[in-house]
Amino acid sequence: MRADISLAVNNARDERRRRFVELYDDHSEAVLRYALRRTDAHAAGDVLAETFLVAWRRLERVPAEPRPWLLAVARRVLANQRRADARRAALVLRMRAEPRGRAAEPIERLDVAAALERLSARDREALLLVYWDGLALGEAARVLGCSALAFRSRLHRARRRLSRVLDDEAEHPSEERDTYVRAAS
Amino acid sequence: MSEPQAELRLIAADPVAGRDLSSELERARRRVLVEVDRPGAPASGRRRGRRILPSAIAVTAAAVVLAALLPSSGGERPRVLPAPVEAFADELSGEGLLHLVTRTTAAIDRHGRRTQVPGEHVELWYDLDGPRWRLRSSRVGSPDYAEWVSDGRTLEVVSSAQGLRLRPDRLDPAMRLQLPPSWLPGMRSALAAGKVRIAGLATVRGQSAYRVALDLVPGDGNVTDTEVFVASDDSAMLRIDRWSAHLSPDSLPGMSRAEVLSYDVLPDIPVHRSLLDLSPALRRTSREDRPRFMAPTSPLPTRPPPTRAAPLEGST
Repeated sequence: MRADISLAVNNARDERRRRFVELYDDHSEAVLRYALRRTDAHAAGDVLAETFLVAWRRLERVPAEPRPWLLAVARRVLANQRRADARRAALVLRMRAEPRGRAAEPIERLDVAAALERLSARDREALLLVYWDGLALGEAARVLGCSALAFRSRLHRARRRLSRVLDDEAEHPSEERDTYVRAAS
Repeated sequence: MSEPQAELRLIAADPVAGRDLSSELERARRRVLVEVDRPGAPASGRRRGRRILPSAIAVTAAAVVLAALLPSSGGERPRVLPAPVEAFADELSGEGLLHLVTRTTAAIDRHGRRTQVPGEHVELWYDLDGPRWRLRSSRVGSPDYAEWVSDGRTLEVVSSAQGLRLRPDRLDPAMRLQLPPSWLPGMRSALAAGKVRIAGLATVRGQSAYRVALDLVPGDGNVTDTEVFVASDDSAMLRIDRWSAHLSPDSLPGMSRAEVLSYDVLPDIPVHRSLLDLSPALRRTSREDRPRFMAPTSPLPTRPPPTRAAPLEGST
């Protein structure tokens, strides 16, 4: 794995390349996980590659704390990809493709997936950035291009809505949930 | 459903938590580097994404097939913590003076036997940005108390009853485990390193709390498992549960529970720093030639295990 780096130090662009490789090694997993949480596995690989090619082209603009910047790029790549392919990121497809996790019971997970689908895209993104991608409030705000204060209130509202939707989901399972359960079984 | 419960369900539903992506990452890495290293590849400027995309699709498709064949890794989940727990960790990682009042309510061995009379009051002042700390302990109902004062190098233990120095090795082993050198730095390190996970939700004295399990560094005393209960509304520490693995002769086996009655981080100002000094009352009553001795690193000096919990000297 490090052989790539050893070769690179001998060529003219070694310093730039070294920096890029460091960036990739440090943050590619976070970008891939970000993408896998929002789209199917095929598209997630595209998002990862495209995000880091943008980073390579704009390496001088990558900030000292690059993760929010990279995730913001990945977010835009995802949006472009959806527009181009008219391919909607369906959680059900992704969950069907994934091996079943140890973190939660499948039905429980599908309930949460169905609840997330019932939230607005803004609410969903705020929740996922914090609770799945593990970003601090300020970092998540940078990904979405808003102030930390605005993000905090957005997250607060999203949390409240998720709680309500989960309650509602338990009492009146949505069609989406049934769809997910059928797809997963 | 409460918001903390919804948060927990959301965290638990993360579809990629703990999944090993190393194969996918390595394959994608090679492919991206091929593009980067290609002669004539522009270092910046015009957009070249479309040229890489088809090859990236092919590579990642193969990677996805491979990943689907791999079992879930079971590795550590990424650091994803609810905001109140993050705030709690940030606070303990910061500066100031930690002031904590706890009451030990249970110390139970693995056979269900109570090894310590419940009701030990402990008040702690701990410099978050330095080595100094002071701890005062007393049994509930007793007017007497003992103080431990350390500057990180030396340790003084003084009893209010007679102003005498107490040797820690004559103390209740449970009390020894209460001393900051045996648990607080480990807790701070685990929080700072993100070696924590949410073990569940609980209600502590009517307050909703996260059970935060800490992955303590081995060798940090005898405690192998610690859970801190953090309030979901104001990030305060509400309770500490610790399990001892009984790894050494003087360790207390089983679980001890300390209810946190007061939790504050005070600003680092002179009047607060004076709280790290021995109480004036004890300074007056204790002997002038009170010996001092080197404070060991965690844990405190070990001695053969007492046959039963010894009461504090000078306590009733």
